[in-house]
Amino acid sequence: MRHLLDNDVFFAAMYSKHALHAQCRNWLDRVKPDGWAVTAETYLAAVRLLMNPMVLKSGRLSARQAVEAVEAELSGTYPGRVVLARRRPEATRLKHATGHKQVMDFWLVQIASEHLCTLATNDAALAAAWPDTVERIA
Amino acid sequence: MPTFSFKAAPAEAKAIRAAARTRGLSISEYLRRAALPRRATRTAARGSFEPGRVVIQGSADAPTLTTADVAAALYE
Repeated sequence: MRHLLDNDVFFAAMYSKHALHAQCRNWLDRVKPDGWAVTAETYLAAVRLLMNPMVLKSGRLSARQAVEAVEAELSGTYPGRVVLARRRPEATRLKHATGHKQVMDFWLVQIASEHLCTLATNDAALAAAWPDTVERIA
Repeated sequence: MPTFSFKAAPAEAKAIRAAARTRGLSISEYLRRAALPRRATRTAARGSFEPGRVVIQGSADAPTLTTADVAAALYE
């Protein structure tokens, strides 16, 4: 496994009205043969977003539809794994967060590091903060 | 088409007629709807759900989302 997708990249690949959908979709299609995964947190984030009426408005999915969509993306010729953290959150890493939104990002960086893969993100700041572990997609 | 007939007490018949009239329905249609409530309908998800490649088409009223919008939806 080489690529761990963050919440935004995974959702953007599946949702046509994300501004970076085309880039994320094309990138994911291209790298799937290399081996890819999402964390359980990212799996749940995708389900939450797909069900959220503030996000998808009238196109929001039911829980069943959202789970089926995520499971369908994870299946296929090059299935994606759902991985868990191997250790508790590392205080030394989290102390670098400059805002509350970075806490989950840094957690995903830790999980990517534990699984010896890179975290795929659209977040330029995150990619700059952890250049050895994070790859910027768009 | 099959026909149903059944007995009702006068008070029941009166109540059924009144309820149907209130809703602007025939007694048959009122009883049909009462016996077979429609399931709440949800628009089928639009898009492609191929194994390994899902693309969900956003609805017309949904905004185009940015990475910041996604973060806000998840964390705020």
